[in-house]
This record gives sequence, structure tokens and C-alpha cells, in this order.
Amino acid sequence: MLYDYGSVEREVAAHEVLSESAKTSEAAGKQYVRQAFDHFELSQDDRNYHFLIHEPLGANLDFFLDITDRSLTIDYVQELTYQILQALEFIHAAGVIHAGSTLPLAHPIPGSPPSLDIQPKNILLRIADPTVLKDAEEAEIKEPSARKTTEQTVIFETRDLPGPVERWIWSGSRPVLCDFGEARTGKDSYTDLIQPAVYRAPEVFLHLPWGMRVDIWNFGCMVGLVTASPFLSLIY
Amino acid sequence: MLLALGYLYATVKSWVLRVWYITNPGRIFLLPAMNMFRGLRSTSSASQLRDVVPRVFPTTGFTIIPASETVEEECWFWYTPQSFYPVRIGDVLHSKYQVLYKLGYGTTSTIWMCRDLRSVPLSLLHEIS
Repeated sequence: MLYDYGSVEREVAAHEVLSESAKTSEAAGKQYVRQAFDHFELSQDDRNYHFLIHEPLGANLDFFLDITDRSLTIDYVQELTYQILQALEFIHAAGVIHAGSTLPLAHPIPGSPPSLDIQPKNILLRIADPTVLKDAEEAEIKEPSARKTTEQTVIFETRDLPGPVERWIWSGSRPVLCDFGEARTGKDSYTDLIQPAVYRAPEVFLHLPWGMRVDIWNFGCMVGLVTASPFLSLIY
Repeated sequence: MLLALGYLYATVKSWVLRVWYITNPGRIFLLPAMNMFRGLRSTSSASQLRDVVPRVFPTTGFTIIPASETVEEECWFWYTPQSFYPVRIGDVLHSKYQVLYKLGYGTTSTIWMCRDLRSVPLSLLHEIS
């Protein structure tokens, strides 16, 4: 395969472990990790589909960076860093490594999949005003979403939550680490190639066995790039 | 954790449903039931929870996108109609989650806002009906 897409199996396995751990863990970091509250499967035309139930979240950190013109205060970055490190502490204590796929681009060309590593697009912020969810539902009743009907299926257009963006997220929205499609569970060390080159830990480059520390390296790179000049952030 | 869930329950009212597709349909994952949800329900007394009747969503009045256009998840170069479960707004999945609207799509999933019809705290009922 050209790309490693991440897998349902990995994501479901990671959520299973994290849910189990969250029941007993007192770690502050668990509130900064997206959890699956339910999981089920349905079959359709001999194919099996997985469903995961999560908490609704506002928007991702990349969007927040865009609307704030990448001018985060040092206080904000410090707090965010602390919270995501707590999130990593929680998942690592549960034996889950976030890892991340090897895809090179954070802003992929249309038609190519996004990367699954620890990056601003995979850190979501909690909703500032939860009533937007209900408002969007009423909007769906009043003005149903555009759709394309084919013989086999219906493709719906995404409904944006009602604005302004301050209703979705604000500077006090807590971060939530998401996307466990490349997460590893069950072992202490691995040897396969992971992470996009800009975020890749040295031991992965050197084809040495790697473990949970790769997440810390990845996140350190992310913080560096988020706080670096706009010019640097263009590289990734 | 129960405290956090209680907060969610009281304020959010709806759940995000993500729809996954296994590329190899022969592999089925048997998971132990995720009891967090049930644990949550058991913390509220039964009398405070009541089933909600699904809402009726319009069957007309929407824009029909012409077949020639590529819409959302169809843009993935590996897309086939079987790539994603055919979720429709208004569907009740797993006898429990009513699909309210679409929130987005990813490489392996489509993302929908849903309501859990089975265990809505009574205090929320007036807002829903």
C-alpha cells in the first residue's frame, strides 16, 4: 500500500484499553484523552462496520491556530503542553502508545489521507457552548442538509455548527488528544517505522526498538513547530 | 471519571457517532462490553431516565446534488459506495442512537452527531420533544 492508513483494529483496541484504564485511574490526564463510551458493529451487504461513540468536541488546535493568527501566548502554550503531557502520561500508564503514521504532510493534497500522529489537527478542543449542538439539530430540521443519492448510498454534506466560532471553542477550551488509528497496545517496544519525518524520534530513524518515549519526542516537535515563526511552520 | 461523564450527560445531550469500516470484513472484533456507559446509567436512578421517541426529519426540501459532482468522502481516491456504512440522517442505529446530522468525514470514517434515545435524563426531555 502506498500509505499506511491506520486501522480500525488499532483504534478499537486502544479505546478498549483506555476505557478500562479510565475506570480505575485517578490520573488528571484522562480528561485530556478522547474516549469511546460505546462500541458496536453492524453488517450491511456482507460487510462489517464499526461504530464508536465519543464525546462531541469543538474544533481542532490547527483551526484555533488559524483563527488566532498563530499568536498564542506563552501562558496558553505552557498550559496546553502540560495538559497534553498529562494525557500522554495517562495513555502510557495504560500501555498505549499514540505512535503516528509515516505520512509526510500535515496539510495533504486533496485525496490523500491526513497524518495520524500527535499534531495540531489531532488535538481537539472542548466545545465552548454546548447549545450549538442543539441549534444545529434544529437547523437540520428547518433546512435539511444537501445530499447526493446514488443507487447504493446517500452522501450528505457536512453541517457546520452555528457560529460565531466563539461558541465552538475559546481560549479556555480544554484540549483532548484524539486519533488512535496508529496507536500501539500490548507491548513495551516495537520496531516498525512510524511518524512523519519531522516528528520522528531518533530511535525510529535508527531502526532501534522504540517505545512510549517516541510520543514525547513527537509532542516536543509539535510544540516547537507551533510556537516557531510562521515561516518554520510552513515546512510542515 | 463518572463525574466527568455526568457532566457530559447533563450538558451535551448528544453523542458523536463515528462510523468505521473494516477493510477485511472477515475479521470481526469481539470486545468485552464497554461498561462505562452502563456504569453511568446506574448512577442515576431509573426513574430519572426515560426513552425518547426519535425525531422525524424532513424527507423533502433539501438540495439534491447532481450525480456528476464529487461530494465529501467520495473525493478519496479509494472510495467505493461500500467504503462507509450508508448512514442516513434520522436513522436509529443499534436501536439506540438516532443520527441527527453529519459532522464530517475522515479517511476511514464518517462522523455524525447522534442522540442516545435510551437513557436521556428526564430533565432534558422537554428540550427534545
